[in-house]
Amino acid sequence: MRPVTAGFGSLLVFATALAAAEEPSVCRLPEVGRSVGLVFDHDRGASARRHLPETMGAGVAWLDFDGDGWMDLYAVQSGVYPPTGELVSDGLFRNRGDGTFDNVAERAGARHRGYGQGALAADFDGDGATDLLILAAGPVTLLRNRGDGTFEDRTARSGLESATGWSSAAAAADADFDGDLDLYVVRYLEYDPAAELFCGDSKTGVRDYCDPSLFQGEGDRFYRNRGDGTFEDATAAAGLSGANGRGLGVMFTDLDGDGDPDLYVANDLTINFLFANRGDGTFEDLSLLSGAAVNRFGKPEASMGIVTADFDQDGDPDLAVTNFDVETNTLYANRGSLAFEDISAPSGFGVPSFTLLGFGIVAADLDFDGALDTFVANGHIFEKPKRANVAYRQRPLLLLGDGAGRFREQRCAELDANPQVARALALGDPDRDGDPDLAISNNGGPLQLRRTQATSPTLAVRLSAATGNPEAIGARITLKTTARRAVRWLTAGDSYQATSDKAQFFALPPGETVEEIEVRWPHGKTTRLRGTLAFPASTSLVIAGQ
Amino acid sequence: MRPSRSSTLRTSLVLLLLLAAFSARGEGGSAALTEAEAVLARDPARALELARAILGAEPEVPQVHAVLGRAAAQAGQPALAVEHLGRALALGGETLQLRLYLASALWETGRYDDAEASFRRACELSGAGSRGQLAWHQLGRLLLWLARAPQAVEALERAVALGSQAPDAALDLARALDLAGDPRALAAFTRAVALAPESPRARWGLAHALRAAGRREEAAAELEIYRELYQREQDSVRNGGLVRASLDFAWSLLRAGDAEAAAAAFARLGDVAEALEGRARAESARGRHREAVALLETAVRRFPDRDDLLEFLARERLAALTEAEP
Repeated sequence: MRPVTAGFGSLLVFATALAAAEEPSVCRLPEVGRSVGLVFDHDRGASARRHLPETMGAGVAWLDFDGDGWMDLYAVQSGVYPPTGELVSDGLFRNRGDGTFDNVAERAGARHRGYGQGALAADFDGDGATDLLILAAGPVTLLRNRGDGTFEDRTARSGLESATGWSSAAAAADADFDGDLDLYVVRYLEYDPAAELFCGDSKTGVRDYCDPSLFQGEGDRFYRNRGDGTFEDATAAAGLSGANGRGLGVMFTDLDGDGDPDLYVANDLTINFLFANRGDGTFEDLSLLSGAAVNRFGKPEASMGIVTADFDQDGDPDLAVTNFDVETNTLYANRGSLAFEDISAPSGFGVPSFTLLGFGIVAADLDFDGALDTFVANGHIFEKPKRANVAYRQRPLLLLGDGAGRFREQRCAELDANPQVARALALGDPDRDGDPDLAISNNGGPLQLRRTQATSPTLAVRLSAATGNPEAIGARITLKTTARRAVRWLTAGDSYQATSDKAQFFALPPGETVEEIEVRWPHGKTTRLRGTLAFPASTSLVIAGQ
Repeated sequence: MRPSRSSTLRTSLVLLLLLAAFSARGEGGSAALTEAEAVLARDPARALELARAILGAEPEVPQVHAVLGRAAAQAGQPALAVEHLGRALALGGETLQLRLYLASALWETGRYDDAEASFRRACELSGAGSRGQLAWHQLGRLLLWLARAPQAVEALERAVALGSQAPDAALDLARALDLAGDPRALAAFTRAVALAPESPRARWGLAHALRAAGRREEAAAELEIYRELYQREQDSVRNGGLVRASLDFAWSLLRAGDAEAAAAAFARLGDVAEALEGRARAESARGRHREAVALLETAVRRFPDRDDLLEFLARERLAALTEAEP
């Protein structure tokens, strides 16, 4: 029998190799985390008591914390739950200037309180050095970048004292047009670790995690920046008192094209929120009326991550939301005037996610054909999911867009062969090759970095503004080529518990030439670079504003 | 996050359970098979275990594979369900029920074309009446889920024609019309709301259609009703879940031998019927039989058909006689 077995094995190897060889280049997303120095294992503190926070994972954030022009990576640690009150050390990976990293967390002061959740990287005090807000089940931690490669804990007297409880993620934008970054902190639910509840098999006494529907949502918080990187709680004044879903994801984007940042919040098992900015930093709740609060069938979904992008290339941002398994991920097409339509099924966006539990999501042109694709980080919360065809460790979901709002799944052998319990996901370009790589956190697992390999010239555009918002968060970048018009919105905080690189990435397929780059800055001024711009190779471009 | 199934599949399961009521009993003939069928709805894992045991002795009996497949479907193992339901079919055991279970399991495993074919065959088998309504409705749901709007409309119109008072079919037809961009969607949602005025999903559909028709004020009014109904539904789910998890907490204490803490935990749940029973068992375990008797007397009034409780009460009464006076 041995020769037969060996022969069959060889045939399998050959077949696998053949399949891999036939895969498109978009499948070449090698995982290089440890080999480039990203040595970090998330500790979820899995306990027999099965505390709900242990299922959530923790965040990642791309930032250039030392100002050397190379993107560094922050990875949040969680630890034991309930937290002990001790400071928890995170991972802060300084880019050596070649796309490899050193963990400098200890000397840089990368620590936080509470059970770590999301990470938001933004320059809150407008001094040109990117700061960090670490969310937690417990108090948040504000780490001010001293500008010398170290951070100081500025939480005390920051005005963020009301962000207690369980904060999952945050987003920043100049919501009130006063020149600095305001903050929206999304909070999950009121979890009591001592609650007299038993979830699981009471006959055997084996616990499992409780359904989040047992717990009340916690009210989100909106903070106005005082102009110096400290904040005041303006939740009520901004008209956001009713924002008390079980929030997990949040982002600011100008959804109606009127120049101010609107808010979209992904809530777990409750309706998602859409708050329209009135232009002065106060908001109107248009959640239900917008059509983006529930799915096409009127059902609130278990939403986790979000991203906005112009998937159909009509110039406005659409909304993509990740959900629980046996729901599908949801794509809301922007129909203008803050009206959205769930096109998950007809677009092909939803069905491939049927057996996957999605968390982080990013939109990027991963096959370099000029159309935006999505990549979703998946992984279940239950080690033994209730359905046999749903796994704990799951493959990521790669959906290739056609630029007209339709998607198809691209299966890749290597992605299928390495399922993870993935959570946060953020785009960044640490090797400065002009294309975005993927940082992925795994719940109770290793930090990963998947490298994309451009097959067309790419253009990475960074903005630099000489205001209290130096990264120009809220700006809109429009690239006009001989073939299309691609629009990107510069955000801080999206996906799930993550902050992506503030650079915006464009691929230039063969035959396409850039005709114009337009930047609409956060306060409405516009910069245009006109004329035929040739980019024979991948290029990074920094556009400076006034 | 949400550890429950989607409304689509949950509704499918409910429909299939309804269908089970139509099914012929005792097809397999054996007592064990009958027992497996009997426990299927309330304990699919047990049914699966029983059916597997029978399969060892009767590997080629279609009814055995059918029960095993149905149990697998209900136990959340759709691939196993497809295997055994398919085997039952190959062995000549085709029934409407089998076809519907197989189609649902194929749907769950992502074999959409096969699921559609199986639903269509179920439609052929079902004839008119409520069985036909069920089969066409299920086919329509799949097609709607796949965004094949014209075909979904066609199937759901058949379903509604066979059961015009069925609110779920009416709502799905409205959704399919909406997806198809058919102007009849607004009237269909209005009809769905008339059939199920307390359904938040029907209300949402109507609001959506009103908004699409430019009737924003009416849409806003419907959305307020939706919000209220939805909140009520959320509260109901939450309260139900909290009671269940609290009861299980108390049971876990009792099983762990901490009867005093268990009694206190059950007591905090007030006069919830199961809490009365649990408290009685905890008091009995503490040797406080008079308290147990008092609690059980209330509990048996709540559960008059629970013979085990009556037996337990009798035993406790006996034990109370020997219990020392306080």
